[in-house]
Amino acid sequence: MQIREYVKPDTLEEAYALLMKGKANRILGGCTFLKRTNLKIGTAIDLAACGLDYIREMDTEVAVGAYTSLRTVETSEVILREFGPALRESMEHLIGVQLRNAITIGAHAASRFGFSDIIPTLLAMNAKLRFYRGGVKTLRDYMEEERLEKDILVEILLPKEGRRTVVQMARLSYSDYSVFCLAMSRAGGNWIVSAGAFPGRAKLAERTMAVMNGGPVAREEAATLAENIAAEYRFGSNYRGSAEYRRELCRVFARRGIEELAQ
Amino acid sequence: MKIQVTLNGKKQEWDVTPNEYLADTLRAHGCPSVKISCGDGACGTCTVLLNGKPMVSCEVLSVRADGAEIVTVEGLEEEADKIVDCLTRLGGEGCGWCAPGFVVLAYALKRELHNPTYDEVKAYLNGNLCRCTGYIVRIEAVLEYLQMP
Repeated sequence: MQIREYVKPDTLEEAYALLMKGKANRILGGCTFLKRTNLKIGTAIDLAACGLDYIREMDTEVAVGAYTSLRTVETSEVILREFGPALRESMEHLIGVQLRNAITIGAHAASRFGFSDIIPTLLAMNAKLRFYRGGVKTLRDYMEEERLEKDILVEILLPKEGRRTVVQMARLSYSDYSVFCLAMSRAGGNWIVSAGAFPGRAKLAERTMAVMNGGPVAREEAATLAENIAAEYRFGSNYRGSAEYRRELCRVFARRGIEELAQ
Repeated sequence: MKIQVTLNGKKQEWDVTPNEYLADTLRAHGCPSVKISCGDGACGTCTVLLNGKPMVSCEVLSVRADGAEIVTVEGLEEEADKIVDCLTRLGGEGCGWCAPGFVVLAYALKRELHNPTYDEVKAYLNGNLCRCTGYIVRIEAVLEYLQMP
């Protein structure tokens, strides 16, 4: 990683202008992944003075500023009260408090990391992203975009839908990246199923979700639906686990998730 | 570029490059306690308090510390003595390599968590790796430190 110039603008307007000024200009996040890259950055734009470190509760949603640290999210009473422990569970194992104080949730989501447990959980929570120029879009759409426009992620919006979310992960050691992650949620008759670290960018199990959202889901159907969910993903092998192992994890996690949420 | 920090209570001005990480800068400015081991944010030996929060300084760009208050183990004085006393009495001192980062983290834990359980202490200390002690005595030492005034 190389940075030619560092700037800390006071406003998003100024930051956006700087971002668009050069092809190699980049917005800085927590910078914890930067060291592992070969990026050559022209102007590194630090948004620390732009006031994006917040968790705001509103009537229909909770807004989490893009510069909010994972540790702040993990310990937020508002998020725990409104959405349960799933989001905390998706991040609390990540190395240590000292690193989670540095990582920002916005950079993590915007980077679409394929190893993330947080992104599948946010997908299951039906999260939306607010960009400076692009406005609000669903995380689901953002994850599917082929070519990302240069923009600034301002905040993550978590809708208050009475959604119950569960997340399950398997990893080789406590603070390691996951071998596989599956998150699932239900709000009334509406289900969301997402997986990540298969390994690849998190995505929804759209076809099985359509079946689940078409009628009531009984606990007895869990094994069949779990089989269908596993059939939607193309699992890969790496040194953390084989495709077959991940497929089996997916079947088991999906069945357990449906059994828990169908009650 | 020039940045201004308050390091262990003293105002300082440093000349840093945009590519420099705080752990290196601190070592170059009289804080040899800040050890760089993994250089990857995973081991916690470079832990310092940045504006009151424990951070792995090997993952923080030095330029981002402009205007910040930084505390290393050198700045903890009596609190560090208390933690080290608990560690040595219970056999949790080990070789000492990871101790400065661990002491800073234990101090941060005391400020952040109120009446934590054993499991909460264990989870909080997860980001500080130690090859010598096997962790259990360290957790017990921190639990003892939490009882101290």
